[in-house]
Amino acid sequence: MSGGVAALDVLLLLAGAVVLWGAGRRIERATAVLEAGLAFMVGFALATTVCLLLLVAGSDLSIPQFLAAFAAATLAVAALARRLGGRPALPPRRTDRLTTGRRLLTIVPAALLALYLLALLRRTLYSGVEWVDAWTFWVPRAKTIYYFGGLVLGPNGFDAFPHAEYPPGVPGLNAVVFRFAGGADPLELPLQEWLVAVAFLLALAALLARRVPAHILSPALLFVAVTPTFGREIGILMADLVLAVTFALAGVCALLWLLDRRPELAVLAGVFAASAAALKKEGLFFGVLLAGAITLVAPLAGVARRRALLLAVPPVVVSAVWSMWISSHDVHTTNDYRLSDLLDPGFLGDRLGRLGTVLTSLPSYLFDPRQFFIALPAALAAAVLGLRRSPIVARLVLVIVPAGFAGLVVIYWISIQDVHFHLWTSAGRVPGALVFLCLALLPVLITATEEQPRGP
Amino acid sequence: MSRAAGGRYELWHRKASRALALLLLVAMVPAYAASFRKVWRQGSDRASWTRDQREFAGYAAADVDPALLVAARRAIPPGATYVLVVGRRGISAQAALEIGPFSEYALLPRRRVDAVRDAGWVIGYGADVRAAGAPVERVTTVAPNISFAQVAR
Repeated sequence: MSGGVAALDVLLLLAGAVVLWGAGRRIERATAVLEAGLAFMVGFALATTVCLLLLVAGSDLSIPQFLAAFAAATLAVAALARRLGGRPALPPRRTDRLTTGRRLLTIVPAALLALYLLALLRRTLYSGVEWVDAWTFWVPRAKTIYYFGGLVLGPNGFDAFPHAEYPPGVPGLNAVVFRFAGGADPLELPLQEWLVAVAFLLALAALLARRVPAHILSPALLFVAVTPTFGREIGILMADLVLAVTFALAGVCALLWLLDRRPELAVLAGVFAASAAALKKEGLFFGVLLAGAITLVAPLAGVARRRALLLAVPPVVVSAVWSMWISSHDVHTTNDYRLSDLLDPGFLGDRLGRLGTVLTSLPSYLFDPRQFFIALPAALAAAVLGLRRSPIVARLVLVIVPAGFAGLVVIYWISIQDVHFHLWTSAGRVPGALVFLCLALLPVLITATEEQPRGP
Repeated sequence: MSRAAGGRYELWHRKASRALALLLLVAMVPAYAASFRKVWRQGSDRASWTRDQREFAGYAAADVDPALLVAARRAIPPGATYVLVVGRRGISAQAALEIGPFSEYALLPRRRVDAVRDAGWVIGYGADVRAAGAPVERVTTVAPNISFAQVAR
């Protein structure tokens, strides 16, 4: 990693720390590393959204422009979180007395996780630009932003590569990485993905440490890490894993907003949901899905549905801004599907056979241990067991998994790609957002089933 | 629910919860071992790669010769334009399909153009650079049927 890129990473960390300070999170020495992970993820999420907005406004993502906009966005979000938050006290961090067995359950998985992350770091440092989508559009798009000064269209421009309709959060931030590195060196990028993955695990621990005891949290984080898509997708320079972890954090923050009654966590959820929409087209679908599911369970926590529905605003606004730019510049896109086809009964009727194929094939990807380990069955089983003791979390999982599945079925149903090819090339990655949210909620459910509930 | 039924439910619930937690812990052991082995092996496989090999690691999927792109990047100035002439002499159908996007990725900020009259350079892949229809000079042959040259002005 060059010194410039290290400076950028410190900047993301500091920006996130400012937002967390605004949200009223007080850092204890024992959890400082975990909070640093959360701060980095908040900074990363903000930066991707800022990149999209700057690009749409015609910026070339020069360092001064990025710094000015990023600082403004950071202060605005911190001020909003400060204005909304800080009323009830946070539940205390779990410091349960540990028996020898529980101490082992804490220390051994944590040590194994650290070892595994080091092995992933080793592979990442030797990694290159291997995956087809990485060199056909993700990396070239970042290069065009860097070399040609923003969203320049035409030959070799932003729209010269497949899927110009994908929002530019990832290529935008990668172009900023190039600026800080002083050159468009794609080998700077894999390590950034590793940092995001590690920061995600730390962030998850920071958010859940107040609800989940260490002897459950530590194995749960290892469970996330050994899910094959996690290890496979670090450093491959595609957006699926970063979308999945960003969306998972949006879900956890939204849930904790309900459970802890802390509106500033809704601000963090909004930051992550907006970023998800800036990272990939599916981010809008998952963001709206999350807002819908949170709206359904919000009354159980005494939060009005209309307030919960506001969670849909950040991803919808980010996607709308991007869509308007695409249409106003008449960009040639290679959409795999058009939602308007859902209103065409003839189109749908002709594809009933395809629907059958999707309905029978998609579950084999979702429940394939080589893709997502046993994440979904585990989360669904824990949700059923946790229905009485942790009804909000359990219902959230039991709503969002079938609804997410139905949404994915519809997308594959109306896609113009060959159904088998489309499933084969994406069904092992795209549902990752849903899976990682379930993985993130699993320790909360396990805790609820293990003991008497401490809160709603 | 009666107290007895409630007690039975609690007992069943506790057993099922413990069983689930135990199952997840047990399932993690082989999963961890397999993931660690795989990641370590992948790291070892890549440890000897050079910088160019890492940057052009996608060549295997594209079935293109990375030596062309390494040499072309050294010879063609960053602001230059190039046209790609693709044939099927000695190269696979996959390579003929993928050399376009792969060279665009590898050679940016050099711009690929469609017409030789707009190009400062010609890259021939499975084809002779002279097939582009313009006089060329400084022909560099990387492999049989794989070469590049500057358009003579």
